[in-house]
Amino acid sequence: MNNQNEINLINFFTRNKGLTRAQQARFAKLMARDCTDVGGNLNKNKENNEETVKMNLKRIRQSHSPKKMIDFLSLFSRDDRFKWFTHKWDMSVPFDIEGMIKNLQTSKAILNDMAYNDGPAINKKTYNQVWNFINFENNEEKPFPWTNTDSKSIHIGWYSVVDLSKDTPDTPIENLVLSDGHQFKDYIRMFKSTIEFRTDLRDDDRFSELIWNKLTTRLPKDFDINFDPQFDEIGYDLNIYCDVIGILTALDTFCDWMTKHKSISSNVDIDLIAEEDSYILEITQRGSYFNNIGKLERPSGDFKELRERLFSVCDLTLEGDYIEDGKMRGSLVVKALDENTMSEDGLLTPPNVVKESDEKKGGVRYKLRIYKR
Amino acid sequence: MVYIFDDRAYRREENHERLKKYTDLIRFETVKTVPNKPTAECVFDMVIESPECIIFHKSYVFADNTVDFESIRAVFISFGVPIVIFSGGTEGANRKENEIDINADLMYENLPYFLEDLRINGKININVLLWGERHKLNALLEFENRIAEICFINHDLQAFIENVPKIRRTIENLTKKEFKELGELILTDLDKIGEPTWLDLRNIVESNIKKIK
Amino acid sequence: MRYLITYSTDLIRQEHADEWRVDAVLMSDSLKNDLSQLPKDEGDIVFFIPTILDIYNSLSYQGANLALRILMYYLREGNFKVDIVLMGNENETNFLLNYDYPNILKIPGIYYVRFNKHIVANFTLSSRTKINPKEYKNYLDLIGLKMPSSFNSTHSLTNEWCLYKWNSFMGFEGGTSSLNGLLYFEYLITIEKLNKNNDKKLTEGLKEKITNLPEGTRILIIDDNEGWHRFFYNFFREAHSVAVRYIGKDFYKLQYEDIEKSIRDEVDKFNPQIIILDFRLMEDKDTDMGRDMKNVSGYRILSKVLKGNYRDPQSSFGRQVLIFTATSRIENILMLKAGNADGFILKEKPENYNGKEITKDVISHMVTDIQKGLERANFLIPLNDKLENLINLVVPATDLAVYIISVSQAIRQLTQNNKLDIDILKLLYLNIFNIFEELKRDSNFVDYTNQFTLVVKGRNILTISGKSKCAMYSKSDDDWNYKRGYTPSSRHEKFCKDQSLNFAICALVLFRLGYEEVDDTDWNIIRLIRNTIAHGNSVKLNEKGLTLSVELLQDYIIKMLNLLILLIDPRNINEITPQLSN
Repeated sequence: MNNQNEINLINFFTRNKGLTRAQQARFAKLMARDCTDVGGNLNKNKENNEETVKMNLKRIRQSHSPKKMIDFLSLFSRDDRFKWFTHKWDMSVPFDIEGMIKNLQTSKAILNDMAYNDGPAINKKTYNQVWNFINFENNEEKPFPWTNTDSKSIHIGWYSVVDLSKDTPDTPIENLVLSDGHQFKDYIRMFKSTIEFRTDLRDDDRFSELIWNKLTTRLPKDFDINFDPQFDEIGYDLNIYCDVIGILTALDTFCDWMTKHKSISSNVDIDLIAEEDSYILEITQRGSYFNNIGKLERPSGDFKELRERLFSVCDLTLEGDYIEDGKMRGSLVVKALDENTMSEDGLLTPPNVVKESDEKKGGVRYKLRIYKR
Repeated sequence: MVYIFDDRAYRREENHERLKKYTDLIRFETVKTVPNKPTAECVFDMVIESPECIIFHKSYVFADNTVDFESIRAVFISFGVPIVIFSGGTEGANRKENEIDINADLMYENLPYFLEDLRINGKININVLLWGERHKLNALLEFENRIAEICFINHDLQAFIENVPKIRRTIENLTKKEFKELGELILTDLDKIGEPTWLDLRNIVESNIKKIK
Repeated sequence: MRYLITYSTDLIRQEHADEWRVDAVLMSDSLKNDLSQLPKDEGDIVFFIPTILDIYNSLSYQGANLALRILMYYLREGNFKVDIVLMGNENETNFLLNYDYPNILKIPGIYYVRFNKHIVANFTLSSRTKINPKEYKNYLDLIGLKMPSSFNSTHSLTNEWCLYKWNSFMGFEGGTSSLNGLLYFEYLITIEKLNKNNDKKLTEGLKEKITNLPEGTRILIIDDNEGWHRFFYNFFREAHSVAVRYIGKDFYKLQYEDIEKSIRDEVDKFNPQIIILDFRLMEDKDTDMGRDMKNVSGYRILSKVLKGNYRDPQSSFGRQVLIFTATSRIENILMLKAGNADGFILKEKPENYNGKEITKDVISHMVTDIQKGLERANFLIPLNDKLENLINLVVPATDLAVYIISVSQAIRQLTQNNKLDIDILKLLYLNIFNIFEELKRDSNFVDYTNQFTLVVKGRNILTISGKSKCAMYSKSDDDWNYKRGYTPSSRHEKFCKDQSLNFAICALVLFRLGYEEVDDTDWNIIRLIRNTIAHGNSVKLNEKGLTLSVELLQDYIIKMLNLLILLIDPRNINEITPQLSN
């Protein structure tokens, strides 16, 4: 590796906002050690790069903000710079794919701003999901994929139609047939259903159907699953911007937990409550209980991952009866994600675990508060 | 209020007369432009009384040639008001998401049914404007085709339905708005069969459609 | 080859071709807009087409309609080996009840199956006898495809149908019709193709007629449909003697007043002999006229801009205006005739199409009308121009002016409503000749003051004769070629006593206009022809080597008018003082 490549590598690491503070500090230390052994030019660069590392060691403090997420996702419906990625082009003027390609970096900067700066921020996984679909410069051979609502990794995005659209400029973009035989509109629909719960796509893409399908296929067949009529009434016609994949991932985790506690209970109730600014999806495993308050206070493993995955997607609350050493200790409410949650260099502030009264909850309830516009 | 913009004076007057018992529901208008005011705004100014549906003649030639329908259509759509474009050159009726196009004669033919339906039910049913007396038939066919897409096109009809609860749910969803009774009949018959095949379901659907027609 | 057409690649796409046992999966959205994308296989082809391409518009049965269009496309291409299998989600009985054209299943080679992968994969065609074009035509007629009901659509359909037929007949490339995709239109062009007799000889005679149109022919086409501009361009392309201009393709954007102006300007600039004028130049507004056909744009242009009427003619009264229309309503034809239309070119209407070829007759008739129109125009345009000129030259409200106006109106009426045969021309001739008589009675020009004195007017009063003296002479009694010169004879006295027309005109020619001799003008022949008509004796005319004929009369009518203009126009005064002594 020559000197220039070394310098490029150093710059890459020092400017990578994805590094945690600890990682940056470690890197600075390693670099300081290595650079003293190399003569001449690199000493000068070492000074410059130490400076850069010091600058990047500035802490990024972000707040959990589902509303910010709504602003982000709704760009694809209301903002002229972004809506053509998901909406049918007005055919009275020729489709300007070149214009969209040219504006890619500007578009990226707008999206980056919502994911990487201080203050209310979106979830980085949501950002990647979106970016990997719209990025014209995604590598066609080995593209970064996004996920559809069937949990499949999709390797088709706007980069897949650039050449095709040039070959057949009179064909509307959404009608272009890709190498797998699908028209591009199939993928646009697929993507749209991951950033919004909508009623104008397939029936299976509706909120109530996605949740219903997920829970009934993921939970064991001998589980008794009850959907409150309100769940269908409200959930069938629900239209909101949301990181749908995030929600479905959360449901996967809840199902795993509920399956683990199958021996305690195999009765699950699902309800949906509409409030003025949000919907609350409640999944209750009747008769289940918490037995380890420590794990709730200091999340690790899949609970930690769940919180990170739902950061800025929705509020997350767990509540349930607490039994310790075989004795009933009342009930707990765990505010895992709410307006007070902060992320500092990717680390979330601990959840707020509250011991409630001695009154029984009747089971363990998982509550997702999904915000409207 | 339903607004209809038709620049053909003769046709406008004739139909205004013909539909005079619906003057509380429909207003026949022409676009009155104001100097130095964008035509799109002039159109919006005219739809003062809570527009529920706008029906526009496609070949309306505006003095301001830079205005076209799409800008006007886009604004109404963003307010959730369906806009229907009629033209002598359109064949039949066509509805695609927010774009609704219909043949001029057909539109005027169906207009009385549409307004009567509005009077009875208190809300706009665009399908009645598009299909007139046959709107229920169209809705029934739509149901039949949607069920077919999900259940019958790609499956071996002799095979057993693997996920009966899912199919039950699908049928409930597809019939709950307009064909609740049909949905209930189908599900009742389906529940009578222990292990139904796709063909069983198809036969049940067909026989019950026949019953309610 | 087996092809399946899909409306959704979520449902069926190319990777499923093997499961459906088809060779390829095609997209309905691209085919709907462009049937030329259909495969061009040589052998037998089978299409599997869903009856419905759009669930939300199920009753439209777009798939079944597309199937009909595909069948007709292949028939037009001469491929009679196509089978179509309609795939429906309802049972066949219901499909036949709901679909507008249930007789589609009566066409051999069209089948119906339930839309299902296994059913389609196992579907085998029974062998059938292929049917010939004539039989296909009968089956297509049986389908009962409907004409669009709105007038606007009908008018547009008639235009496109006529354009298609005429382009096809003449072998021209018509370009894409705006009605491609309209089922009824495609049906019309298909049966026309199936009926067609590709006999090139039919057009050869026509083409010869066109190329033999005389040099200097100018034809103006006024039509708002650009397709007609293209047709006539191709029609006259090889006729190098003919200049053609086209206006109207942007009329849809204009108000009536602008259309009127642009037509006036074009006519003034181009000076056509023949104008082919579309009856409906403003499609939308003309439809709105309801019952009052006099408000239709073409009629307004005809009556107010081009022709006018006998009393108030427009500048194009002499031009021959042929109305281009599909109307078959007698009241419209009569109205246009009363508006002074000179002829009609009737567009073929689809509802009148019964397979019998009338295109040749219609187009042939049109060419004949153009030829005859040219002959008429070449006479009537200068005739009307000169009459107008005369009217503008005379002093208004004089007896002469009143007389000239009255004769002009009579002439216009006579020429507009009659063939220009020898009898009509004789009538015209005598009427115009009488203007000389009236001129003689007008004291602004001639005054027989007493029985031996003739005075004519130039800028001054010119005394031509007196007692036993005259300022002009002829060699002998029957020599009519007067010349200037003093003669002491009293031969002239009988002419003065009789107030002779000839004597007066000769005097005007020699002394007002300043000619050397009367035979320097056409007066003597003019007079001879008049006498021949009046007395029926053509001996003297024959002696001059002339025969009374249509051509002679037309020629000398114009010459009469030219002479009248010369005599009346004060700018032509070149007076010579008469010499009444040695």
